[in-house]
Amino acid sequence: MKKKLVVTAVTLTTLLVGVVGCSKSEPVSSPTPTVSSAPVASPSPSPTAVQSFPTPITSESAEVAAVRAAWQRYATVRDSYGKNPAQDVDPDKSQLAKSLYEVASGDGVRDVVDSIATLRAEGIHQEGDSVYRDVKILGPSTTDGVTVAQVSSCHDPAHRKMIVTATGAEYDNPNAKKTLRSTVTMQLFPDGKWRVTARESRFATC
Amino acid sequence: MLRRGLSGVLVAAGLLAAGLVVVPVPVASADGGICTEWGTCTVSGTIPGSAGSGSSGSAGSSSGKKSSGGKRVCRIDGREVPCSGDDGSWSSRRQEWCKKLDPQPPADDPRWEGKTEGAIYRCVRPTNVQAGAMIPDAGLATYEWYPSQEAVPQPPPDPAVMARRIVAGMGLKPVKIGSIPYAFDESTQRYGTVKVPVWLWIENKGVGVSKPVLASAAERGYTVTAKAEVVKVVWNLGDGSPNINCGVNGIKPGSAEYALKNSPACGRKTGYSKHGGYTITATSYWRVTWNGIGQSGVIELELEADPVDVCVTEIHTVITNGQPIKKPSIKCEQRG
Repeated sequence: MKKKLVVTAVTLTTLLVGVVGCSKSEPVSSPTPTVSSAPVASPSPSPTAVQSFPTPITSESAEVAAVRAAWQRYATVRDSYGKNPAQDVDPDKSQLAKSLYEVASGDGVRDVVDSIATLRAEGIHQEGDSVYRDVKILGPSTTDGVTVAQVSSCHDPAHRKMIVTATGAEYDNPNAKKTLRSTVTMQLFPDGKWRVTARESRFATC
Repeated sequence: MLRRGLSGVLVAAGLLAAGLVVVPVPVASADGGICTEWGTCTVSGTIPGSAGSGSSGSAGSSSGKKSSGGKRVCRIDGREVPCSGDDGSWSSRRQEWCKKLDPQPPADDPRWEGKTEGAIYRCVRPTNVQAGAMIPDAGLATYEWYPSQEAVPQPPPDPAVMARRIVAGMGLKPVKIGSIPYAFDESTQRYGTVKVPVWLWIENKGVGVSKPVLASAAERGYTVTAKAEVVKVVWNLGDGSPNINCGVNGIKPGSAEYALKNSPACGRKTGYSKHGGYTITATSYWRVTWNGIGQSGVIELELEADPVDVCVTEIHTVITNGQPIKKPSIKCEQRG
């Protein structure tokens, strides 16, 4: 029987070069998870507080629970920068930035900073809260002495708006209202903390 | 049977290791860029308000190119930048100036991540490349641990090579064919009846099908992670009919009686039209997504299952308690 093997490799360089904005010391807000009792997204932004993260599965292992908790801290830090992109990203100057280095590493940090750069370049910020649902955790898995896990989630923007900071008007960009499916790779580091080392995302109905 | 399956894997691993038939293809997100939850996107590695693209920096390069005269020339997006300054030396891979922190942060600083060797570097990107300013943007500095104590971080390993190594070590296997026509024993020979629905399913629906495989590789402190999963299985009944693509679906029927009376989730309700011998084949299509060291990519693999031979007769098999009890005593002439 004819055997065949096709291997295609797709390489995407994700090294980004941020070149925008300026930074100044701003009041630091520590990342605090948003919690309330309305887990279902409504079609339009609402001032009502929402539950940003789904309730964890009670039967999940301690390892998976640790991954989930670290990912939620990461998402909360991102959200904090989304609400105020002018906040400092230097951990020597900002508690939030220090938190960033507790939840992300290497390219994971660069991705967050690149994302902040886009917000500064566009002059926009977030009002309201992000909602994450359909959270799936793959792993943890240890190979070659490295323990990793992946967390995929659906980001629902229904409970937040993007605002042009200078005018207070809503940001005119349809992408800001799309749901986004993202997958982050997390790695367990020697200090016992899980950190995001990479993020991939795409707009998708989810 | 097993040997055939494993050989497919070994061939795949060998080709991967040798770097053969690997075709780089650019990948873009749905909207052509890398996007954030805020609706902002970077296109081709460039963020809004900048012209800087990191794609030109090879993973193995940490310094600028040298001109014919031997002088080092550093560039971003085709524009020349100073190769060194107060913020350190230019890294082509990162497209930033990087400098080892002096003094280094205290041991309990989160930037160490619990590591006790290596060094923490501060990297600063140029601001407003389009305008040609090329000023270090201190407001967007990042810190990264590197395994060495060099003045400039050494080039990292090639993540694509590491990804191929991960795939080779994953032990990805072809699917095992489950079918009606039915096997009476452990042999590959299976028996069926003309015009009886053919059911197809994946017998080893575990690794890669129900749950992706996650693995990583580490080299000099750099990590690459890969996830492999079966995205579809394409079946062929060996009678000249078109391939059957059911994704990763396909259900084993609860009983032979049920299989006789119902349409298969994957297969062919009308069954084989003529008696004879046929060969059922199945090709599993694996998609491996990897990321690490600032790059990501996809490796696609096709692994062929051990084929099964089926003997299709016009004599109905006797079925009792959901199982065929009599093996047809006829010889099948190979068809298709």
